[in-house]
Amino acid sequence: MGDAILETEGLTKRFGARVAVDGLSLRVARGDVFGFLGPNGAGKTTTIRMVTGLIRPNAGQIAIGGVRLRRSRRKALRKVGALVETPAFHPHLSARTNLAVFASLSRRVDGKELDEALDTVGLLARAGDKVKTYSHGMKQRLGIACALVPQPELLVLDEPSDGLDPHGIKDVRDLIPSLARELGVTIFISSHILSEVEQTCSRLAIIDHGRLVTQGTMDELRSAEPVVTFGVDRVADARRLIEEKLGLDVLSMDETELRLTLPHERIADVNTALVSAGHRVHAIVTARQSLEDLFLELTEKSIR
Amino acid sequence: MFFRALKCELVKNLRKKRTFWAFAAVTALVSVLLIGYVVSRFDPVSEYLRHASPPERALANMAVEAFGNGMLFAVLFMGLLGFALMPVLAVAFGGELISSEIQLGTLRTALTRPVTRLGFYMTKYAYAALITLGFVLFTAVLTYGLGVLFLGRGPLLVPAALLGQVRGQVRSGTFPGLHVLSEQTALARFFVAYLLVAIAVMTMTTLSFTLSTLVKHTGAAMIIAISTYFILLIVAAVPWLESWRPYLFVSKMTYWLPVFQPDPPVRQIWGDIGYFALYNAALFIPGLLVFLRRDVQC
Repeated sequence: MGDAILETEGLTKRFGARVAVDGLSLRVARGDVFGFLGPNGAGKTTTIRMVTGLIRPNAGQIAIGGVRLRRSRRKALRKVGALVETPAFHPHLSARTNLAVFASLSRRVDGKELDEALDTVGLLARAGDKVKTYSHGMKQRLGIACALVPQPELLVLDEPSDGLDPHGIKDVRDLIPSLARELGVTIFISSHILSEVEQTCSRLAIIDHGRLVTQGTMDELRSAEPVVTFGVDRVADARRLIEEKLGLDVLSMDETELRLTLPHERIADVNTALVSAGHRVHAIVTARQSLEDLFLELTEKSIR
Repeated sequence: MFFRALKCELVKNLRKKRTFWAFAAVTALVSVLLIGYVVSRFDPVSEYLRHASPPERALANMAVEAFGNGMLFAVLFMGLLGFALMPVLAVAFGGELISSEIQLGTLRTALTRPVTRLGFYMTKYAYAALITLGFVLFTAVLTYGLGVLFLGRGPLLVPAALLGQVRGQVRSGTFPGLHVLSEQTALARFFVAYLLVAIAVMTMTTLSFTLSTLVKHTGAAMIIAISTYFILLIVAAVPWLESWRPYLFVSKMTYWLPVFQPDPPVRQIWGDIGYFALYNAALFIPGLLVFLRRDVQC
């Protein structure tokens, strides 16, 4: 446990009667690119706000690099660079001045360090321009630069691709692993874009209704069983048959297909049951479980 | 750390156009007052001398004529500027310091930094105090500078009217006269008086600063602060609420006037400074407590 950069224990936050985060215990090891997933309203941003000292938990502990946030706020936050929700800057100031203003709250920085951070996110050429002239994608990258200037050990990024166009999403997706690789910083990233998390994260946690559903590496979390797609007619009837008669969980379905995790040896049983019930099975495709399948499986179970 | 953050606060705010507009507005207003003063040959004493004897009135008018220099102009309009203009502009400076950060979302970015909330809040308040003092001193230098430039230098004729002494005594049939302060003495007292004005105006800065913490919308914070000021002025003017006046800071906004008396009542002035200090503390502490405890949801 000694090499954890971020640990939370029994973290709880209530807003009136509503419990936003409920006894959440997370562990992020140094060097991880840690994906933090959950449906809308699951408590991701509330957790990130607690970790970055913006809101106070009702119960539980947060330790950053072994330093308790509640006890030594400044010492703990010195290890953190954060982009929480949409990036916010002073629109009448240039990107460089904005970085200098926020960096001054962490430590003394020189112009060279600011330029390096701007260069890392590809904004050096526009460093002197006022932020009000920036696009959303540029502000997002500036937000990452702002989080990098204090040379943090832990970089917390809350939905860094939110609102970006496909080029912007790709830029951010390429940037994150390079930050981890070149700067050696641990990254804690919350995202809705599951393919992005799958490609960039070494470990992940999924929360729902404020509770931890699971955490681990992709391989640890992914089911050993493949995801099997059945192309079938009368999909709703077929689903009922599989769930009620065979006692299996269907992951998802659309107009022509059903998807479920299934051991190889039971694929034939399902096919036989469908055909015996008069369904026409036109395709059976097996694939390794994706993060999307895992996410849907875990969060849908949680909803039920 | 504190001074580094304060410097950044100055950089951040002094680059806003509205800061320059505020200074430009004061310059324009003082210029208009000066032009009006020169063109209309404004005589502030005669109004108060309607009941004085003709020789006294003639003497006073001659004195105003003789001593109508830049110093008299600067002192005469200090009341108007310190009572009406500066409190309003203090609200404009103080009322946006926290709420604009909430509205922009920059409070969120700032408070994820290794800074204590107390330190952050105190830096903001120190900036508010600094800009208020700077603004008041700017007004002092501007009124005196423009006055001297167009009306010349010289000793200060202090009309008793200015000290708030005449009204009652004239009614009783005795005009208390005028007195003159040498140029050096007048100048020193003028700047001391403006420092006292700054302390009084700081109360409005503190009120608007606290409101900017409690109210998330900058405009709302400013409107509430200005409305409060004018409502308190009205309340302080209501005769049957006279017993309330000691508790209303607006009734002491001209507490600096006795500085121009031949022998200023130093103890009374210190007492008034203490009064304003307590008022400022009482207005500041609720905002601080809210800021320290509040979840940042912006």
